[in-house]
Amino acid sequence: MRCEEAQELITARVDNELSADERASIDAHLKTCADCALAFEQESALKRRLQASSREVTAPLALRRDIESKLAGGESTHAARFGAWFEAFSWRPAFALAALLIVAASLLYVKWPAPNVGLAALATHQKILGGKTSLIRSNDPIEVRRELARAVGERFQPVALDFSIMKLYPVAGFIETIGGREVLVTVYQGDGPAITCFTFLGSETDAPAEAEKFYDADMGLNFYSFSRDGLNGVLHREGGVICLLVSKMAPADLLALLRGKSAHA
Amino acid sequence: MDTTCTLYYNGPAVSRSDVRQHVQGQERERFSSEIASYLDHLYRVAFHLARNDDEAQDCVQETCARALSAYGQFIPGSNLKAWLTRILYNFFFDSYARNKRVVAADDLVDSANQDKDFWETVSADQAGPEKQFLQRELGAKIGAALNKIPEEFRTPIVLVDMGDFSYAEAAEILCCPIGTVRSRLSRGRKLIHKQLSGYLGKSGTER
Repeated sequence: MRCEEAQELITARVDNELSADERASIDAHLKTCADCALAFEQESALKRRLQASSREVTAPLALRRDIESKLAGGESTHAARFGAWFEAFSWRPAFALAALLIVAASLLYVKWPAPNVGLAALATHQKILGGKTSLIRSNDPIEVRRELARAVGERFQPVALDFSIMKLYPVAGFIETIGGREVLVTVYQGDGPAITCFTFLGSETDAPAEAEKFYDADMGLNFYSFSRDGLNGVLHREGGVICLLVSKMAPADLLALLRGKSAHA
Repeated sequence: MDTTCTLYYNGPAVSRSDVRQHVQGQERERFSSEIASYLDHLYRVAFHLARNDDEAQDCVQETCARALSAYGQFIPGSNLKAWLTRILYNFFFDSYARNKRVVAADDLVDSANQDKDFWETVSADQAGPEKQFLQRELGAKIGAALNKIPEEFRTPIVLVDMGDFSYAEAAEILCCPIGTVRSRLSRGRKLIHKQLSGYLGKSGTER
């Protein structure tokens, strides 16, 4: 077999798309041709890299929610396009049921107090650590910030934090609704305890009642620190935006990080 | 090889009237749920075809809308993933691909980083933030290299390597012979390898 003839067979060998005869033929050639054997190894490595790279790409959360909402018969921001969705399905009973559920949920919402965002954030961080939360992993932290800000209509954006000195890097972001409020969540992982940053519109009353309050006279800012079940949170307000960090990291270290961030803001 | 543009189907023969009788309430809900389970796959394929987020999102939105509209044409038990991908590819090709600038395949070497020995630094099993960072950077390089090759070579790579389709499935989606998929894959991977040669080290393989 000539090397020119072997090239496509090498490709198909990498993809396991050869018949037994073809496979035997190319394998025999690879044993005697160092150049083609190297080409096979290179193409195999490239395929693995392409596959790994591809797994990093997932549907943006806003797109997923939009489509899943439409698939479930919810509201559409693309009414004209999705007219076709509803022509396809006759879901009036489903709409009626959905309306009842919305009314029931509204009643429950009025009756029950909204959960404390600080404590809910601890629970979210625990789920992330336990791998129970699906994350949008991204190669581009700037794009994650932009995506999250866009998802809340640019009303606010995730606080920019640089933990690279601790070898922690933003690896994922998502939006969580807590007590009816949209919370932007950015996950920092790397060497050492992971940190999750929560950004949302709120006030200092979003700190749990049990939180300790620190007043930084130099900065003129209040900081709140709280802990539960081995997780620690620190929170402070900049204007109408709350920044909350949650980690297993010691409260004093977290507080130092947040104060450092505010000092450079 | 049959090259007619039939929807990919590898199940038993089912007539269209049988299908219509079969697809009722719960089946439709399950159909919606199954579509949702392929959102990551659809976005991944769309993103690598379109090479930008806005067009990729538009392709996925339109694919889901068209899939629901054409629900009666889907044959239960057949390959939904391939069917959806075929819809997506057709929409992408009709809406965007025809207008894309074609990049010359002979001018694709990124010479800016020839001295780096990137792949030898990063192996798939390495952990730690620095290695994760390098892996992310490598992913970006691969994405950039993929984006530079002509659509005819990029699409088979997107379907086979990133979409996990077989040659037969990719051929059905692209409406071309299996041999064409194989030859374009071979050429396309060589083009990407050529672009990444500065990152591959002497051997071009992982250590």
